[in-house]
Amino acid sequence: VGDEQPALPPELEARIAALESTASSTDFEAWGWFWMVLFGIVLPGALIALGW
Amino acid sequence: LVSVSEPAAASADESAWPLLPSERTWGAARLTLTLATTAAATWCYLIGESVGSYLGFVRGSMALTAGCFIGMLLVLLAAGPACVRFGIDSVAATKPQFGTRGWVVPAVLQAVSIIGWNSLLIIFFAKSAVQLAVALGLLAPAAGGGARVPLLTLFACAVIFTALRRGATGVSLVSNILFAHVFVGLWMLYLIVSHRWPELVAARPALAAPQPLWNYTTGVELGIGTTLSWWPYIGAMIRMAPNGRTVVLPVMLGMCLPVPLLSLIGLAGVLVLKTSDPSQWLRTVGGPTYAVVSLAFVTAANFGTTTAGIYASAVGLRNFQALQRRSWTTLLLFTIMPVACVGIFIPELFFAKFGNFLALIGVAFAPLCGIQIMDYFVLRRRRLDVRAMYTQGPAQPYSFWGGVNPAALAALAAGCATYVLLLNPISYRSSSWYPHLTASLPAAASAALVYFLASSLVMRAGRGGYRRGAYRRGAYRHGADRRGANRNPQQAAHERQNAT
Repeated sequence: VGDEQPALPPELEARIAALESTASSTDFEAWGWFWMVLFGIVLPGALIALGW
Repeated sequence: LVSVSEPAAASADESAWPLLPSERTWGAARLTLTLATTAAATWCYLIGESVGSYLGFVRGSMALTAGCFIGMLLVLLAAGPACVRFGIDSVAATKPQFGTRGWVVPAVLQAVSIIGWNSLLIIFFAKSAVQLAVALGLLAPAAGGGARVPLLTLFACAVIFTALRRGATGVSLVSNILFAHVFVGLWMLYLIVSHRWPELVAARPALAAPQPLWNYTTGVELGIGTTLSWWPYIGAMIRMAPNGRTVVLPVMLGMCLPVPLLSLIGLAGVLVLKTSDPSQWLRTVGGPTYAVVSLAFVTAANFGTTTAGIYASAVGLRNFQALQRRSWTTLLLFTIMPVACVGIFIPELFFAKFGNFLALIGVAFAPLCGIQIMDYFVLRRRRLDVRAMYTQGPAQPYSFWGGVNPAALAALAAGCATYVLLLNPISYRSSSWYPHLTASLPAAASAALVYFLASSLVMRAGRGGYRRGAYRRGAYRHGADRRGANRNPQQAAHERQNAT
């Protein structure tokens, strides 16, 4: 009951279809994780320890 | 074959719809430049002033820098994945957690935060511009009275409006022109550090608490809170980059690093010269010429940030159905008018009263990040359904109950309550736990925990597009829902097809 999906605007539908038809996208790659760990965890940890 | 029409593609960055890979053309350098220009503003030396009230220069620098990077990591992990994968903005990225109607809550937080901050920055801009014009001899010191700030506010809004008629390209253009101010800021920092180093290291903070740990934690907390407030801005910028690889270093070095670096200007100023305003202390250090340079820096900095903020806010508002069909010009006017009205009609009243409100609004961003991180990395195991973000209807994966996920609302409330219990953001009264924990990190953690627990009930009810047992080890191996535990076959088929 009420499961009908209202049609998306054609432009949006085309965009979503295009994204779905491409290969699975990823968020962050190995180097991204490396920089995040370095700048987001290691560096702040070192600064906090040094400053304290 | 699916095609996107040329006119629509040309204005894709003016919508909240996903961007196609071909439209995401910003490389690392362009993104770094834009993010750095966005980050550098008057708030930097206000933040430095706050830290300098509790900590000396060296320890304050370290605590603030550490906090900024921690906060930036949280924001990037929360909003980043959905934005870089699908080319969407920060508000659209909250639909899997808050629902196809519940996203209005983060949207309102974003709009109020950005419009509020922009109003403050545009007033700062106008005041600095008046001082600059007087210092350059373009205006007489007394002539014109109080009409100058409103007039310059109006002028700034008109320039920003004109620039942003070109969408994200306008933001990038303004950043290209104004980027030099970041180096001017670093030069100012060099000046005060090189001229006053002995006094700087010997200076004692004026409001330091008796407990050194409290002071140090407050320095870290101020840094975390500062970069958490980038959540509303970040999505609209990083969605212009083609992938996650292009995004991480620009965010960490372009958006995050300038904040603690330029905050040191305010930190040093308040410790040595008892004022964080560089236009005042540069006059002391280097005479009127340096003061003019400083005023130009402040003017340019606030202008660049306001431009980016209004763009991000306009894209966020585009998620509202009523505004989807409006022209970009109308949407820009809708976004810029509140800022202009505040700057023209009630600048002083806004200055006096709205700062506290912004502090309260800022409390919500830590829990918001906790919810998004828990949802994406733990509960959904990095699987999102882009179609479901834009599809209404009771059987749709992100519809929850009436389009709202009560788990997210409960988690947001729990996170905010945790923050306020640990640290009152206005009075800075704190609990005994605060010096050991900070306030933002427990707020994010408690929101994530409540979201996790409440989501188990959501999953049992078969709502939210989750796969039952999603958070158990191995449940997603091979990407198949082998338990067949979804609410209905249509939803299961829809997910298998579209989870990307």
